[in-house]
Amino acid sequence: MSTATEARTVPATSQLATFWLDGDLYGVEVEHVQEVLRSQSITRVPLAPPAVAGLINLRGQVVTAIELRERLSRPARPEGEQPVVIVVRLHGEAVSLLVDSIADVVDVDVRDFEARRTRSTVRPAS
Amino acid sequence: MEGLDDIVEEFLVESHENLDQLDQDLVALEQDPRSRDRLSSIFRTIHTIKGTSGFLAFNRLEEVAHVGENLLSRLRDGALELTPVRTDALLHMVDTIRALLAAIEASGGEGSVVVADTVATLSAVLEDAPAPVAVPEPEAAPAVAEVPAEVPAEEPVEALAAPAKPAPAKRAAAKKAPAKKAAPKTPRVTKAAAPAVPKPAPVPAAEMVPAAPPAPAPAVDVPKEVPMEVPVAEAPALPPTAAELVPEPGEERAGAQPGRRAVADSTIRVDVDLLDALMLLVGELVLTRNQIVQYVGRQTDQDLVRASQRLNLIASELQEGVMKTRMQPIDHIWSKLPRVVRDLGLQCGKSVRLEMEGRETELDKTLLEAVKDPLTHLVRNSVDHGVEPTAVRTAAGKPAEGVLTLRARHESGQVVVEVADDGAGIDPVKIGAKAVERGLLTPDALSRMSPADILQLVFLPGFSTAAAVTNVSGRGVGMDVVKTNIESIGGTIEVESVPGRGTCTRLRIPLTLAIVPALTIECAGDRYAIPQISLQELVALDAEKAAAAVEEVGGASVYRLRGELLPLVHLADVLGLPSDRHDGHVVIAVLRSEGRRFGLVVDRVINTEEIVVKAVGGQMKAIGLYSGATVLGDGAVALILDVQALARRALRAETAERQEARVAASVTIAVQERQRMLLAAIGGGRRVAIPLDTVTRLEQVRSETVERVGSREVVQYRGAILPIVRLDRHLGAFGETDRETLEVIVYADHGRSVAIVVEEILDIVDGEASVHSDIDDLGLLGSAVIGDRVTELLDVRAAILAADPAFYTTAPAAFPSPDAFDVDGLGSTAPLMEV
Repeated sequence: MSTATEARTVPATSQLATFWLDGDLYGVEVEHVQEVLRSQSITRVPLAPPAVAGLINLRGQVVTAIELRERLSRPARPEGEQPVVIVVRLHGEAVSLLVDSIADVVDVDVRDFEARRTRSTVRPAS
Repeated sequence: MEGLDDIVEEFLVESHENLDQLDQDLVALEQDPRSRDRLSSIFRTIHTIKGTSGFLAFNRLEEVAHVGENLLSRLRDGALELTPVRTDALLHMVDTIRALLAAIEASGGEGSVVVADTVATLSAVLEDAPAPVAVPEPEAAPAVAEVPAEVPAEEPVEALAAPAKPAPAKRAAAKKAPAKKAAPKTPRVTKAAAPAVPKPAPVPAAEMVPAAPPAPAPAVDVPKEVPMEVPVAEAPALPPTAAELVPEPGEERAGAQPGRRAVADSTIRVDVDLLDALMLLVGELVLTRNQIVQYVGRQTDQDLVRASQRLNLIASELQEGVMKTRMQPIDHIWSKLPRVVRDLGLQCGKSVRLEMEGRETELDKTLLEAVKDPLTHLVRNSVDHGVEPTAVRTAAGKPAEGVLTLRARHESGQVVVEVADDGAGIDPVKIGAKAVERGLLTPDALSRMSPADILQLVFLPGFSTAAAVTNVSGRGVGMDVVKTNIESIGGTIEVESVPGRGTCTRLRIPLTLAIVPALTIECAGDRYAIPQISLQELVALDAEKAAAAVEEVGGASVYRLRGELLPLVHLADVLGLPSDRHDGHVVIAVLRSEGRRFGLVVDRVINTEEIVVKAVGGQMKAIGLYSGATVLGDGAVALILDVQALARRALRAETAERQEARVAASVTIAVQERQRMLLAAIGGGRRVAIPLDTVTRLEQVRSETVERVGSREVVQYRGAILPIVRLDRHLGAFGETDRETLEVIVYADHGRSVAIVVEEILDIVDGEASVHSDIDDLGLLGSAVIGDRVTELLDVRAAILAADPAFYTTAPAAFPSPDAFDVDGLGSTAPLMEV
């Protein structure tokens, strides 16, 4: 509450859905997460940007799957390891993120946030 | 006329709707008597009813509406104020109009509905002093007295053409009588109402007064007179303006009104969003149906199979039904065009007649909207640039009046719309020259194109500047935009033209966007969908045939499909994936794009199915190969190939490659270039090799169609006269002369074509012949050993000149200088150059 003046868009505590990617823990704001799926068949899209893993059939809706390992410049997922699909909804459009595995939903106090240091990760300080 | 009935019916539906709106408006108006908008809207409604009823000769209806309109116009202009009495009179009028409409609907005529009292009431309030309060009884009488004075004053204008002069008088009389009747009624009701209201304040009393009159049928005995006055003089002046009639969409409609009857109940306005939602659901249903049908196909349970068959059937019918709800006749957008043509014709000083065929052809509303602008553009283009000025037309021996024809029809699940004019047409030679000049094409590439292909160049973006248009043929302003628009809805466009005779632009539009029939194919292990709209045929070649029929020309493969060279595009190559077809079989989907055909080589064809087009994200669209995605019967996602983009991408790349190759060859003549040669027998056991890239087309011509012009032989070919050279005679061989069909190699350049007749087309071979010799003869450039046989290399230029001495003189600029030919016979590479 005390920080409300500072950043109106960020509530005092925010809930993050966390997941593992190449041994690191990441989080996305929970209100963007629509659902989490396992073992989806993915249709590859030739000539698409490398981060696009392909298309997923989400109950009749065709959703683009983004390989986060590629997007975050991590090594490719080892053979035989099935990714977990996190479907997020942004600006009304659903996009699915491929991650290694899903972890807990955590409450994070806004005051614990630190300015990001790396290119594209927001790590909750624990 | 096919339907006065239709007109009446439409009028009824429209009027019923408008009256419902009117009820609400009038009531709302009481709350806010100064709302000009509402008054204007009410006025328009009544005005329209008046106009249409006059037109349809419903005189009583017209009369009521007329008086109502008078009142409304005064209210609108602020000359009168809206009092409850007047509101009531108006509501009464609405009721009367309803009753009349009901009678018209039931019997086709106005029946015995009495209008006199309504007219009187309206006239009365019209004459009313501006006193906004209750209508005191005494005033009712004077009102009646004034009626005759007022009515004739207006009437003459309306009844100018009426043959019977006494009409106004009669009408006045008719009005007078009921007015008198009505007047006494008022006090009665007032009295009845008075006791109910303990403190009869003037205003509520006034409200009560009008509430009652509509209810009891006033037994008036004058109506006999009414039908006798016939002045329909006003009728033609007032066709209803459609725009004004359309009520606000999404307006809440009250439940069933007592006045509404069969006709009105048989149609209903539905929110387009709702239909869209329904369409989506039906799409999902179709997909689920596909899945179930596929699944049940593997089952043996008879009941399940039967149930799934019924599901199949019902889903199809449902799909069809929902699609129909979105269908509208193309006339909706055509109806504006006569005006466009007329105005533009006047502006350009041309006389153009617009003819329409198939205006009832229906297509999806969304598509209709999308086609509107491109179509208007095409029509404008035709009038502006297609049809010649009258003087030019008469000079050319054509009728002075140009004809622009719009045609629409359903054709194999698509709607074909044509815009055809009988104007000057487009000259492919000029178009081609322009394209070269603008750097859109090399003379080389141009020479390989057929006139039909060249015409499609008008759709190139670079062609769309005004200068190009006036200089070339007056075509092409924004044609690329038209094309883009049509393609964005999954349609195709092509243009055909006969110089001097006219131009026809043809649009092919899918019936609906949401669900399209498609061919599913497999490539590199993945499945893709190709919209059927682009698909022409499928060709499957086994390894042996494929090896013989699929040729490499300068790094690009072609297939000879019934004599025409079909450029092939390997989908796997385009996608950058390894094909998983290793047995040498070739499956070709012959596709059409922009009036050109090409063959898409795929691994295998799977099925045809109805697919539901799903939007894909922007990143996918940007790739420029996929127009969307769909979910297949088994739930897997498949990409829908964008055939136009594919063609553009693949064929352009291929052309560029070939041109590069050619440039390289011309720079270093010494370097032996791989060259495809067409091998032909010319009789007497002689074989001739002709560079394949000079060949435009292979044809067969029946010998009896060969005609003579002087000493030359010609044949009619695609609307032109094609000179023939018989290679056997040209080269002094002795071939058979009495064959029924002639094998012909057509060579075209800059709109001129010649045909070279050979005895038999043997093969297409790699021309990398190592053994060349300068042993030659007249008409030859040398000889070479190809496939263990000595083969003569044809001097194509000489052969062509033998057929058409003027062939090269018409387009000298675009042609490489003769110096490029090593006619000395030293370089057998000479024919490899562009001829």
